[in-house]
Amino acid sequence: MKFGRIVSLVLGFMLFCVFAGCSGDEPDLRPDSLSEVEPYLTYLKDKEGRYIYLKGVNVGGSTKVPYLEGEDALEHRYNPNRAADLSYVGRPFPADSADDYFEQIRALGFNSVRLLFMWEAVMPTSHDEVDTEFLAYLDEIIGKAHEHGLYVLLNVHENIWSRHIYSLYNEKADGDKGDLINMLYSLFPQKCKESGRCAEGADPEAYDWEKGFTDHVSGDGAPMWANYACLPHKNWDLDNKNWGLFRILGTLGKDLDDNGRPDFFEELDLIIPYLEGTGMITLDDATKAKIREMEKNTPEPFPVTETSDMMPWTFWGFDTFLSMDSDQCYAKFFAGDVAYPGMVALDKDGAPIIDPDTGQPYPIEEYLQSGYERMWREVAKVGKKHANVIGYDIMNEPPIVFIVLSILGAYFDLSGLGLESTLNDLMSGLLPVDVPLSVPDNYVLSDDGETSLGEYAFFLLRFLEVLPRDTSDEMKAELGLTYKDETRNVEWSADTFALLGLNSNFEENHLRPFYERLAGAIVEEDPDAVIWFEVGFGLSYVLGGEGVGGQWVQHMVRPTLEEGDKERFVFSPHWYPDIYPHIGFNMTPREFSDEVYRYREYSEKLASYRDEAKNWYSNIPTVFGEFGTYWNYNGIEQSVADDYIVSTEILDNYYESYEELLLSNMVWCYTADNDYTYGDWWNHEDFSVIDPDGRPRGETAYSRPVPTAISGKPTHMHFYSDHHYYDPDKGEVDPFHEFELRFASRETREPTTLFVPELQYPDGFYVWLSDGFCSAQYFPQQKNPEGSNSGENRKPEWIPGYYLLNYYPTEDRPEWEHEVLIRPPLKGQEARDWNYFIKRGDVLTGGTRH
Amino acid sequence: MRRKNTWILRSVRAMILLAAPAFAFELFAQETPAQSADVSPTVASEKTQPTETEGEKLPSWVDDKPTKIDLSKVPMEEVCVDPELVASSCGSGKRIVFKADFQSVFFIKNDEDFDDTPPEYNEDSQQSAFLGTYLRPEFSFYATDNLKIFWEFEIGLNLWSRNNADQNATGSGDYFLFKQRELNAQGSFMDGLVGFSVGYQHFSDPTGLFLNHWIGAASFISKPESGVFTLSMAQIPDNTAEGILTDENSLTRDRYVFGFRADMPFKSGETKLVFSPAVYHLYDDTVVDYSKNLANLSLHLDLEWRYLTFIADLAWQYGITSNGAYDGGDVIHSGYAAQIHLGLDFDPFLLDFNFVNLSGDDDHEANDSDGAFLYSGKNRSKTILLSEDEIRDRGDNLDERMGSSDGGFTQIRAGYQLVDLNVAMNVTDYFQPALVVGAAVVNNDTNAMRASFVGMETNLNLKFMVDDVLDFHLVGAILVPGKAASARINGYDRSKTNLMYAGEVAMGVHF
Repeated sequence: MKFGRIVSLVLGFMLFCVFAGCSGDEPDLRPDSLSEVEPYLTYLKDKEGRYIYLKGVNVGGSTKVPYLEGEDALEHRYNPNRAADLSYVGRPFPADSADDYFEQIRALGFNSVRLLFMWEAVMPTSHDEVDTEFLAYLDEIIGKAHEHGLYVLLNVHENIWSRHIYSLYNEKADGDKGDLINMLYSLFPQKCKESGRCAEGADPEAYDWEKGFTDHVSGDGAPMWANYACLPHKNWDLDNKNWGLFRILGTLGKDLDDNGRPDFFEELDLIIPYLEGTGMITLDDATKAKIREMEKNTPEPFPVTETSDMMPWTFWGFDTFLSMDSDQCYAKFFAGDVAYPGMVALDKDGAPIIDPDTGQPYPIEEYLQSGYERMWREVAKVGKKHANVIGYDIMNEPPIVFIVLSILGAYFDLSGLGLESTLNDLMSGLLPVDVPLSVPDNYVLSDDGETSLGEYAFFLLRFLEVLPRDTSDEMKAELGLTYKDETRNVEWSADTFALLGLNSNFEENHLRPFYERLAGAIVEEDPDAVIWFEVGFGLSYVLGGEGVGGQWVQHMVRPTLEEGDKERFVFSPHWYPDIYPHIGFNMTPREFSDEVYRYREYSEKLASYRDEAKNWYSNIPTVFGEFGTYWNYNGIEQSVADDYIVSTEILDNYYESYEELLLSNMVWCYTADNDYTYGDWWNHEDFSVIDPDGRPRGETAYSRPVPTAISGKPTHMHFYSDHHYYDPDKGEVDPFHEFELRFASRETREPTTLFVPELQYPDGFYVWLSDGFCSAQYFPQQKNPEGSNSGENRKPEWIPGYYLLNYYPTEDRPEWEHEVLIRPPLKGQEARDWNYFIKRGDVLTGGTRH
Repeated sequence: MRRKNTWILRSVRAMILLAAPAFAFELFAQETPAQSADVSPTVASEKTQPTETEGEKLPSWVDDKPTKIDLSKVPMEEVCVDPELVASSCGSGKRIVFKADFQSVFFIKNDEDFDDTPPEYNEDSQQSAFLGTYLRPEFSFYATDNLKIFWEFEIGLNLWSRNNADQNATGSGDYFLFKQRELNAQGSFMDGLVGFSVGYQHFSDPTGLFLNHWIGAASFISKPESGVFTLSMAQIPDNTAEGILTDENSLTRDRYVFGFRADMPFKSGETKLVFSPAVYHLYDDTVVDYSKNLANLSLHLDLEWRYLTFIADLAWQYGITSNGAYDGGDVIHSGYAAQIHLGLDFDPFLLDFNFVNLSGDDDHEANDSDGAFLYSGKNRSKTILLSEDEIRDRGDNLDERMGSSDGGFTQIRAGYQLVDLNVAMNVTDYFQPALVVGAAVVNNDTNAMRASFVGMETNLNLKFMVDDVLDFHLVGAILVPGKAASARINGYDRSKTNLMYAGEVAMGVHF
């Protein structure tokens, strides 16, 4: 071989080497599609065999009200029942904005959404008709969530039965919020000169009863046709001007002695001087003038059938137990057959609705449940099309306490046994002092010629119809405990003992059969469906704790469709700490210092809910479907000024506990149209993790590294945010923003997928791996130049930057524990032996591969 | 001292590093003429010099070195410890030949990285330094003149600060280190046409850039007139913990190398040339589900002309790692390495120029393509910070620290280019100062945080020699780091590029 040939060969090979290097494609770690998720023992797994850890968000808070914008939304605040033809298309956000919002949700670190919708949204007009436009919208929204890598849990949401059950109130009432007087005043509307909504020529000093309220507390969920059926004794006419007024306002104007003055104010003229004389109260002139003003503006008396039985509790949850309308609807929905025997469904005009299958009028329970079932069937047909639908959450927080309703029933049915006079005697005994007050004859129960203060109070309660004014059949019918229409041969009466019975073992007797019915229907439509169910909103919520020997815990056993269907169900409890406003109307947000929540630890409480699944539900997976925090503590202005620190601390507590317990979770909530004044547009709740400008708030707590799919059974996870409490050790750097995930030996070759938010790692981050390798993809922050979170072009203003990491564990030994450790560069800590350093689009590799 | 690619430099008398006498003696011991079966074609980038066996004609260009030794009169079973003694009295047949390298070394650096931010608990300060000692004995057990067992091991490097002769607890970290380097049998029959080398041994491809490992190997070696041809199978230790019991081990999760290498000498006038092409197949199935099949084609050219030595090394790799991509797909490897070395011997001056280029990956980690060369970690550069320090390898050389390790190889995703120039002068027979200047850059700055410059090193090596058995090195080095190095190396602040200073004092005894 000639030298020249050899040299040519070498040089040629050199050129070949240089140019033979290949360049590959940029990794795209966003999955083209998500695979179906199903329960496996106490975990959720995808089709690839990975353990799914859900960190989700409820979308969204404003879904509880129809989709309205601008003035329409404001109009709805004070006139909710009179706007017809409302739609939920656009809830949680319009479809053409969904890409931006879902991308923001993904970029904030959520891998799933609990997508809320209303029964009313699907079936707004009739038991037999669905809103195809809404279903098409729902279909599109689910698909868009999939495009953004988000799992979807479908939830039919409801609280206090229906948005049509509401109580108006005036936030601009005189006095300081939180005071008793202000609470009283808040039940009255603004004057015409204040509201500016009265008809032309109206007295500016007159109360604007039609449009003078600023907001209302309402339920949400059920459509109007269901209201017609469950509360047929109510006047549901849209032009009923009394609807929504606090029910006592209908009694203030009663003039039983027919002397031209409302009796109540006559009584006030008597009792106020008396009480002032005893030194118990002192009213100033302004207050007395206000009372005169109220008397002058008191509305014409109206019965409770003209309005909803509801009070404007700022913490609306009280109405779950105190609203007779809500209680009755739920009792009829779940247990109408036993609690209201013989009750049939009536239409708006009071005509019985015929079940086409039987040719007989629908029993009320069957009518309501079959309507609910039909709604779910239609939704399941939509959900079936989408692999990212991970479940069907049948009903939100089903109320299962009927104490007040059953007492009411007993009040009537036991009156013959002297219950009414016993109550009078009881109150008289409690407040025995005689008062020289005049009481209408028909209210005097004692026969000693004297009126005690207790008797007087008892009189007032009945006069104002806080208690039934009497135990007559008319009164009972007004309250919906009995119904009689001789022309249609319709008659029923509530069974008091059955109502009392609802308070015991309700979940097992009524909720489980309901869940099983709905689960069966959904599975018929979507054979791969996973059913999520919630614990009943029961005595333990009302009274706290578990009672003596667990008497208040009334859990059912796990719903069952057929043998071996354990993999069908997921338990989804909700839990909130003591964050709700104090008891009252028109209350201010709670006040906390930032230290109040800093050191709290939620693990024990959350673990107790998880244990319910162990103890009662065959140890099926537990995913917290709701938790969260208000964002307006100390007032929204102060909260903003404090950078939402209290709320942020609360959320951080949650997430630290979820990570410790390895519990999946879905925070309440993401409200695209959150508002500084009206919050999430429902009952002044303000829980949204984004603010009215579409900017994340408190994201240092909730935008944290999180896995979605884990290649083996998770054993440990933690992230130390800025809000983590450090107990420092000498010479050791506090591992700020350290994230660690450990899991048992891999069970699949598919990667563990991780989300890493840029905001926690602005200077990049190191990755240490126990074994295997990673790939990373950076998604830079997006500014939406047209971003505006108001108006028709509503879009989030910016979407944070983030990373997706795919971790491929390679060690294959059975007892191996894989580990991913992430830390930012920490001052005072030299990072060594890392496998990767990642900063935006740049990846440094080190350590040992494989 | 490792037998790496620097052997060839030593053999042309351009080396300035330690152990030249040991090397010479090793040649003498292993490649004794006539009866010797010693053939070490697999030694790292060794200039393979076919030796003349009895009845075998040496290539015409091969000179008379190493010294031919008449072993016929050496009594059998006598241990030979001195070359001269061996030359005079070690006989043929059954015998043991022994040699050893001893070194005590002091090394100090101002910092391990280029960032002076102290850790919160600064126990070891920023400084990096040690005093240590090692001994590396070698034994050649000759069963016959053409069959021997070779054994090399290393005791140490034991740090003076940690070594405790009374320590019995082997888990304490301060016991005597014992590393077995080579244990193999070598034989040569039929006038060299049939030979073998089987056992744990140093194994290298002709360039030394890909394979340059101590591994278990079995080689069939044939040495006809035209050169040396070697067919090998080797097994590289893997990372998996399979234990040492046979019932806990198998051949299913291991890393293998199969290869063929040719070393063909040519001579024309004063020009001598060795052309060594080789092809290897690396099969790595140590990681379940992630098997790697990689072919490596190596070309080595060694040209000598009077006072000039020119060496070109080229290696190209192509292969597939199953399922190794981000999406679970396969990864295509395609990398290369190139090295050019130029040596000039103008007595008393010695000049060495070296350039090595290791390909890097594309911009994306764990995609379907991997362009980073699987690198042995060893090259011909004289730098001691930018590449391996041949006085004492400490594992802190930047080329390896810039990369990640994968199954006994280093991959530098950013790629690596290192150029250096060494100027040495034989001032006297006992003193040889050498100045080295080198600089390195990366090929793909995307994989080095958008920076290209790795650093520039200058070192001065003062070498004192006493009778070829005792030498001293006094070395001072300074490294001006670049952003690429600081991005990869710094423990905290990746923007800092503080100077790195290093000093080294070594005493070596070789016989």
